[in-house]
Amino acid sequence: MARIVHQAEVDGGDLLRRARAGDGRAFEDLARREEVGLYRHVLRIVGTPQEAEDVVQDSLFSAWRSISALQGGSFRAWLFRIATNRSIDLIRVRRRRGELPLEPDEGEEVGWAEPVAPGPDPPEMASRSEAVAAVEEALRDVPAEQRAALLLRDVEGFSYEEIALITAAEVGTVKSRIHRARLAVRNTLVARGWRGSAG
Amino acid sequence: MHVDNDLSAYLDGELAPSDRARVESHLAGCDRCASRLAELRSTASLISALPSPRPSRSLVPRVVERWNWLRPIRSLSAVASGAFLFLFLVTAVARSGTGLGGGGAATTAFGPAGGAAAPAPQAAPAASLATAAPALVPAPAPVFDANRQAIAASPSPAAPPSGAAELAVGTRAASPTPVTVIYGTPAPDPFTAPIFWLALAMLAALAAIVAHWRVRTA
Repeated sequence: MARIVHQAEVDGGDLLRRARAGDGRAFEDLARREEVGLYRHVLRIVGTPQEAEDVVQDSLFSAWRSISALQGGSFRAWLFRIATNRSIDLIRVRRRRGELPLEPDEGEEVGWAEPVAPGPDPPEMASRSEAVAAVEEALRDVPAEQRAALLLRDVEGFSYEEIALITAAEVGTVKSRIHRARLAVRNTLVARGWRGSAG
Repeated sequence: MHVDNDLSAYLDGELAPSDRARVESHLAGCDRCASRLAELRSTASLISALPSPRPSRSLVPRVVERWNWLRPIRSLSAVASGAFLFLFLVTAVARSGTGLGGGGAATTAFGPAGGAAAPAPQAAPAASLATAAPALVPAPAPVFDANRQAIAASPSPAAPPSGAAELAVGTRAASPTPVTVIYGTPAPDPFTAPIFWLALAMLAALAAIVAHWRVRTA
């Protein structure tokens, strides 16, 4: 897979070199840049703030211990890879324990739900928090791996190729996951009366 | 044929040029697919506009040991505290010894009062410490001898019943009458005052404790 160099990586190139040489302060500076983004991403996968904080902290510590193994590529993508993997693993464990319901099969076809009686668009809802809650709820119903891919694209702005590196999947799989996840969110919102194309 | 499955990739600019041209050509003549593309675009906008929650605490692990410069200070303070404590003990014993004016004098002074004139085996170390006292207490004043005679002449009611010199030293140090006279000698040297070394020992110990706490909690 091609090496991907993110702009932030270019800016933090010197920090990354120092961090790889064992400079803990440089690593902390780099990690601090990504801390909020990682937390935001992990929280929307695992669902609870406490678990999200633990996952991010563990991921960053794991990254520090293995940073010498990072030979090239994006430090940010590498961090998101560690955090995403840990989040998905946590979801799987909770599902095995019966704490979470089973997810639909990833290969299952997702159709286009037809709009019901038109309701308010999320931007037009009584409050912004109501709109946010509707989208967050719609995201929660999306299978974890699809949700992770969609969040990496729409929130974190990674390219499909970067997402493929982060999630250790083929680009074709990433394309399919993002489309299914986005369509699932759209369907959930449509089921709540959202006039999709007007948003 | 509709292009539903390519709409997200088209929206994200992730289609190959040939696929992109095909989708654009289809969208130009298909209102249904154009409408669905708009819905997906709106959905992506809503997701990207979600607020960014912040963690309740810093999640960056502290991989750098801060306050490293306090480590030598912590060690030095601990050693200094021990040294000052030693000096405190030496000066305290020296003062006590000076007050007795030697082991023999102690036995002489307190023997008759307690009714047990025979010196106990413990008298030897006390005497040696007491005789070493002049080295640390440079000028025993003449008033000391007068005082010693006064002690011998008028036995203290707090005198121990046994003739143990070591016990006598401790008792006498705690007794207000001789201590007041002995430590009240003129022009006291602060470096020979036990309280001086005790204060330094406590300060150094405090510094060591604070440094240790800061290094551990960094």
